[in-house]
Order: sequence, then structure tokens, then C-alpha cells
Amino acid sequence: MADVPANPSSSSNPAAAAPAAPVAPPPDPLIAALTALGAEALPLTQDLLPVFRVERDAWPSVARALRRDPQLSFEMLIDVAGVDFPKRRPRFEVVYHLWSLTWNKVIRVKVGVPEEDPQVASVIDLWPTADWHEREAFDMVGVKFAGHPDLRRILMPDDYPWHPLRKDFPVEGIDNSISYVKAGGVLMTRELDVDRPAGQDRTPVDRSHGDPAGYSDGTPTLPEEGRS
Amino acid sequence: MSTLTEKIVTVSDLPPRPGGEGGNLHEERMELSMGPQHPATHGVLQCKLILDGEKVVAMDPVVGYLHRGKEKHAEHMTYQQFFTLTDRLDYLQPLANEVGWALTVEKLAGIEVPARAQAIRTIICEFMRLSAHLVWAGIGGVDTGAVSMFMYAFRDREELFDLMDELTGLRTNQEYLRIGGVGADLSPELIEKMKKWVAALPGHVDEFELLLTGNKIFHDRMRGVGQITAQQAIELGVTGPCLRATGVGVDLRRARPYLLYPQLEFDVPVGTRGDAYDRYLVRIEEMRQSARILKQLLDHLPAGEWIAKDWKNVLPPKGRVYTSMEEMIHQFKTVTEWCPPKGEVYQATEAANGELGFYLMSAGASHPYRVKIRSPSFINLQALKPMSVGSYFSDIVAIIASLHFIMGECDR
Repeated sequence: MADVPANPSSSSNPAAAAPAAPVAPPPDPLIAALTALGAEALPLTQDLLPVFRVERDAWPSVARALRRDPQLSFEMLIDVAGVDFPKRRPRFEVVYHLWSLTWNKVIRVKVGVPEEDPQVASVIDLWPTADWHEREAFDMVGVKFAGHPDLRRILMPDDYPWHPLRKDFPVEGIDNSISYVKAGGVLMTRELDVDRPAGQDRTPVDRSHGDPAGYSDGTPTLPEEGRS
Repeated sequence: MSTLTEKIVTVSDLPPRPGGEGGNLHEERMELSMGPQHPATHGVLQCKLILDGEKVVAMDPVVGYLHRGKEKHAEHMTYQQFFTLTDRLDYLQPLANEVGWALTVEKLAGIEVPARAQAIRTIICEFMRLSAHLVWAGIGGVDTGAVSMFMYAFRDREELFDLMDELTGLRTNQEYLRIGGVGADLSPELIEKMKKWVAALPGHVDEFELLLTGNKIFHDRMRGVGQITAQQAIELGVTGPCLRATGVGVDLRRARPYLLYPQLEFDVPVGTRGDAYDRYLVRIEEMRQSARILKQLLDHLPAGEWIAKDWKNVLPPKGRVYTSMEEMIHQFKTVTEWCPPKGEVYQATEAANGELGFYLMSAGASHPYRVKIRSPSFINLQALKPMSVGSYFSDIVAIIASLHFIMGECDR
């Protein structure tokens, strides 16, 4: 197996050198095995990790193969991130980072989740660490994980009505006058926003920096403007 | 006196009594909420416990009391501004968090960092590991009853903070990293002071060990407590010293190296049993290894620049901004309109508690599109449940002390 491209000091940025032609993925049994399962290999990004896009329906079988296949054996689920692209279909994306301790290899897998049915299969049976990761993604972005036994909010209060990492949620919050309940008991009531009557919501403002519609799956290209 | 011995009863003949053998104690469950303001939970962690006598039957850690929405804030800050918030993740090792963020942004933008800046970053990473481990040693000692340990560990930590103060100008939450380098050079006088501190450290670690390692009370308190297997630890995503204590020799400084770690000589200590005592031993040995790394770096610090002279992407040092027109323009342009290219980067560093990763999505704007912080404290905290269930209530304090998480990093 090829080594993980790791040393940031020596790895030059492909974006700076040749924005039109990203570094071609090395011939790799991993890519062949995943492509056979229905994963689509995406262009490399600056960190040179293999990136795959998996259809939502194929994700349970791909995840099982990633975990159980001895040729792949990704023992550790490093991270699960929910991302919101308000102008794209499907709107949400769940990004998994997996680490094979056997091969010392990290990959990134992306699963698109539509807004109408924001649900994706839980991988808690394959990686028990997914428990809190998936609770956090649900809490922050509002993606549901089918098969998760205890999908509660984890960072925000139990009765919090919004998903704060959605792009239409303003950074200053919405309606700070509600009572927050965490772990079953009322713990604090905040009356911070004195200018606005309690209960009145603020109109959500579009603050999607950098126009997510133009966001192209990390294909490294230089921005047209903004550099002097 | 003979009347007392006349009637001899056998205990097993007695009727069942509440609280005694055969009594109904084991059917009485007590719900207990430990925290979020409990001094032994190291911040604002709440543990909802169900106890059967002194035994923990069920546990549910409740986190989020310190959630400040750093990932949301990151989407509304420039890349340089976000350093301020990374300081406050694991506030015992602010500079190590900054290094993680700097490496992420530099990888995204393709900025080459000079060798001296990399060496200084490696130095402060190890100082921060020591800072976190020293606090862990002091507080962990207090948690397990060795109160004097606190004084010894915090003596060294204060001296370490004096060094960091001299390097960065701030005692804690330093904000010393810059994209492309560091905020100031390491002076020869400070290097000498650091060398002196580092040379004294192994002797001080020996002192800690004299206080704790062979201490019968400490040993009884930690040995066999909060045990997990290597398999469990990997499944739960545990990283850092807690994973290595189970016998898995995975250290990101070796497995996915960054900075100058490939060129440095150091050992990765591993445990055998995965209990609280092994986690203690691993961290103690890591302190010695950090001192070894620091000695190598301080003895052979490469010469050169401490910040990349790439003023289109990097903030020029303030001294030049105030004296040179060219750099003042660059400063203005970089602050107001610097945009890295579109792309995605996941960069992980071996922080004191495990894998600290930043997953950064850039849409080519001056602000990140999405930042996901892979926080080791958050993930390692999941192991608290399997470690605690089945143990005694008082062991939870020792388990929390040995697991060592920082709620600022956990809740983000």
C-alpha cells in the first residue's frame, strides 16, 4: 500500500502549481475495490487523501466493506461532519474520515443527503464511535441517522429548535429568550436580547460565504478575484 | 460474661435484613447527577449515574455546557482571526491547537514554512504537551488523594508559562502562530532558559514518580480501574495516551508525521493493560520523551526565517509594517482580502489528548466555508461509559482523572 501523504512541509500544493490538472490518483487497489462497490472516486484535494462519493442507498454496503473487508480494514472512524449546501441538491452532505490502522491510510467518504428526507444509514454497528459523531451531526445540521438507537441532541440543549450549523442560521442566534433544557431539567433562562420582544424570531439571513452553488467538491482552482 | 457466649447464632440462620446478605439492597437503584459543577469532572461535565449501592450500573455523560459554537464562528471569521478561538479549545495547550489550525490553512493554500519556523512550532508543540501533562499530573494527583503532587506539577508548569510568556508575550492563550510561521523569533537567551528548564525536567518527573508510582494508595486507586481493551479503544475512536495505554502504539507524530517529527528521535510509550494506572505511566513517560525531543531541537535549532516571506499570503511582521510602505500595503491587502484557493483539507496533529483534527472546506472566500474540529476530548469521553459501568462510584473520579479531557475542547 502506498504511504499516506503526510508531511505538510514537503508536500507542495497542487492548486498553486497546476490548477487545471490535479494530481492523478496513484493506481491503488483501494480505489478499484471501492469503485466496484459503487463509490465514485473524486479528484484529490490539497491534502491528497483519496476522496469518494457514495450514493445514500449504497452507503451501508460500502461502509460494511470498508470496515470488514481485510483488504480495506478501516478500523477507525476518525470524524463525521455534516455540511450544508443550501443551493445544491442534495442539500446536505455527511463527510466521513476513516483511518485504516493496518495500512495506515486515511480516506474521505461523502454521502449526499436530500433536504426532503434528511436521513442516512447509521454506521454505529460498524464503528461504535459513530454514536456521538452522529448525534453531533444531527444536532448541528439536522441530518438523521437511521438505525441510531439514541439520536438526541448532544451539544445544544434538548429542546433547542434549530440546527445551528445550517447556513440559514444566523451566527448571532435566533430568539435568545427561550428556556433551555439539558439532560431533563431547566438549567438556565436567558434574556439577553433586550431590544426584541421575547418569542419574536429574527429573519434568517443568507450568510453563505463564497456562494456554495459554485462550490465544486474541492477541485483545486484558484479564485478569480481576491488576490492582489 | 458466660451468658453472652451461651447463645450462639449462625449468621445464615438469621432472617434477611435490608442492607445485609439476602436483603433488598441490590434492588434499590439510586439516580445521581454528578456535575456539571462537580470539582472532579474537570469543567462542566455532567454524569448521570444509576448506582446500586456503590456500584455504577449505568452512566450517561452529558456534554455541551461549554458549547460556544466555534465551528459556526469560524465561518464568519478570517483564517487568521480563527487562531484566537483555537486557543480556547484545549486551554491547557493553546499553542498546539494553533499549530493544528496553521498547518491546515497552510496545506490548503500551499504555503511553505521555513525550517526555523517549523522547528519553533515543534518546540512549542512539545512544550504544550508538557503543559497539558503537568496539569494532568497535578490535578490527577489531587483527584486521587495526592494533594502535594499539585504543588510539584504546578511549580514546573508556572516556569513553563514564564518561558511561554517571554516567547509570546502572554502567559496563556498566546495567539503566537501566524499563517506561514510564528509571531516572533526565539532569542538565544530564551533558548538557554528553555534548555535549562528542559534539562531539569527529567529529574522533576522522577520526583513525581517517587510521589506516585510506587505509592500504595495511588496504586490501589488506579490499578485495574477503568480498564478497556485495545479492541474497545479502537472501536470507540479513542486516540492519544488513552489508546496507547491499551497497547496500541499509534502516535500521529509517527503514523502521519508533520512538522519536524520524522527527523527526531523519540520513543512512543505503550501500556499493557489499558487501565488508569497504565494511562498514568504512559503520560509520565511521554513527559520524558518530550524533554528528549526538546533537547534535540533546542541544541540544533535551524537558522533562518521564522515566517515565510510570502507577503501575498502571509501577514508581514509588525515591525516592518510600521516602517515600510510595501509591507504596509501587503498587511492591508492580506487582512482585508486574502482568500485561499477552493478545496478541502483534513489535517490532524497529535495533541496531548489524542488526534486533534481540523477539517476545513474552503469555497475560495476570505472565510472558511465549513470547519469541523475533530476534538480528541469529545471522542475519548465516549469511553467513559464502558470504563465506568461496573466499577465503584469513587473510581469514577480516578477514571476521569486518568482519561483527562478538557471540556473546552470537547464542547467547542
